[in-house]
Amino acid sequence: MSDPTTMPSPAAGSADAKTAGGEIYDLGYQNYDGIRLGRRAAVVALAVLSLRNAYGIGRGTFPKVLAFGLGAIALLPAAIVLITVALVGGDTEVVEYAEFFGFVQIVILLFVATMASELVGNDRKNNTLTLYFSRPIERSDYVFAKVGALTLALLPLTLLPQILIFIGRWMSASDSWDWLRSDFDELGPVIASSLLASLQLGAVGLAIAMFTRSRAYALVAVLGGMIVTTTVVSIIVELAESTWSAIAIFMSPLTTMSAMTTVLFDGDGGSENFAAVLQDIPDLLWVAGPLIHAAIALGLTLRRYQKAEL
Amino acid sequence: MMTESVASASSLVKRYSSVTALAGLTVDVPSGIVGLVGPNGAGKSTLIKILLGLVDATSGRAEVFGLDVATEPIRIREIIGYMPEHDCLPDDLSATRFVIHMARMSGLPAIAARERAAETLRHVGLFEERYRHIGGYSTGMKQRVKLAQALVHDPRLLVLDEPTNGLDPSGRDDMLALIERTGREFGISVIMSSHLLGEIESVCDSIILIDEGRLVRSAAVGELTGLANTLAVEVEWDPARVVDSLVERGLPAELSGSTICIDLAADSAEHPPVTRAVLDTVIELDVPLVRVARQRRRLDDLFRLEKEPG
Repeated sequence: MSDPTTMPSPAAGSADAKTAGGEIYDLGYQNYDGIRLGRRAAVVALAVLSLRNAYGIGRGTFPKVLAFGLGAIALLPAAIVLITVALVGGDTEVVEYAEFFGFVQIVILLFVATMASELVGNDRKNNTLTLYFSRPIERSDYVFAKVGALTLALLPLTLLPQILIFIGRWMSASDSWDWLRSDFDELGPVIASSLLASLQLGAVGLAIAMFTRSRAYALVAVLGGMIVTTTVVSIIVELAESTWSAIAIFMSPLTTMSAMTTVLFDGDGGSENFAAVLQDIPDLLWVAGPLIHAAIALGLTLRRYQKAEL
Repeated sequence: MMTESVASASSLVKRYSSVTALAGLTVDVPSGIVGLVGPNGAGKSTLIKILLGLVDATSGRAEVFGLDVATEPIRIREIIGYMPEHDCLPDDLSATRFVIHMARMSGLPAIAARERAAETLRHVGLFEERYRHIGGYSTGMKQRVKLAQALVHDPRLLVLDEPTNGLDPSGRDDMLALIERTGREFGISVIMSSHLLGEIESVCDSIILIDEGRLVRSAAVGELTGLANTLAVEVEWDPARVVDSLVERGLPAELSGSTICIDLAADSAEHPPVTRAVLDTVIELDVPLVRVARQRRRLDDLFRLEKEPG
């Protein structure tokens, strides 16, 4: 059947490992019998590529500008803190951690909406999904890789600026050792709130992108959905302080998020009523809020992909 | 080697809400290059997708290398390479990056993925252009990338769904030559679907004919085409008059283009009297005879013959 052309064997020929089997094809094609790393490696590879895609690495100019531009805007509060520190000096509290997400909310939402449709919309639009699902992975692996990628992609917008703020304050402190000892505790909530917010927005954003046809629709759905629900919830909270208010807060992703940060940083969420409602329910539940949102979104996404006919 | 079974289906049924794609298909796919032939809607793509575990069968069983598609889809997808019929490539990645990525999705470590991607792209005939974004490729180049991603992880079985779709005649020939070389020289079994019998005939070892979700016939190509049981007669003019006269003599003659075809049926012992009758006829009608020859049966005729009784 096969007609292997054996190498015109020079002196080293017989010692060459490649010719030991006596089969060298003139095309240079060789069968691969190295290791296969399996599912987990495949999922990591997919998440890494998605992360690169999100920031436009290896792609055109537009995605790069979009991602890095939004990232830069999210860094503005941190930049303000650092500039103030440099100019004014002294212990500055221009931007509170508890208020940070309030400042950059819109930018983060824009980022989530564009990236989510980029990450799942393109695979669907280009039909690449068929190729992925014919590789040795489960459909759920695909979803986890995408949610993981978007969560990680969000960290430069959520965690990084707050870390910079932390460093800025540290540098501005008169006694930096003393400051570090008293304020080091803040780092825990900073990291926890960033991770929770990124996971929640990543999962919810992907679920919304899943049900929308293009980036424009995803943008409208994410921004519209989140801002409208937030406004409605805020009105309910201001009108009456009751258990309904607490439930209402859970209904909107953004208020759930700000309840979580308020509880973690022990703030007031910018409104007395809001702070009062938070007292009604154990703190742990508020902190778990974003996780519950993420779980529901993930469940919907998984179901959608499980049922997709290719 | 030729008789070893690569894949099999037994009583395979797939029903979509209103359509029955497979209606109890039972077939054994031998190794080598196998053509899966049938008109559009015959169930070719559905069979392929069931073998890959992309679609669940309604009932029945299917196996690939002895692995049940219902219970071990991941192990099957590790050793199978799939080239879908339709477009499935991202347009804003380079072929190199994409094929490396698909190798990693099959579990190859980073370095091996890189090497195999370069090798496979060279094999399919993409050289410098592999660093350009796929969006700017011609249909022929895209088909090559699709083949490369199916080959990059060195599968034991290559499943190609209408690999020549959308190609011009020369692109078609190139693709067929590539498939033939891949199947013959690398020892990879190939299942290729097509609705064009000509191309199947030219590269395949065996053929599986399906129609309306059922097996029509499965056999080696030689076995199906090797029989010479048609007598082809060409005359200078008036073939229709010759046919009429032959029919009057009780011969099953019919006109196919300008060639008179006489079915010699199963009994080739009748051949000499038939030739005699042809000669008598042309002499009687005073029509110059150009050629009398036994003709190899083509798959086109076969398909027509197989379908007529049904």
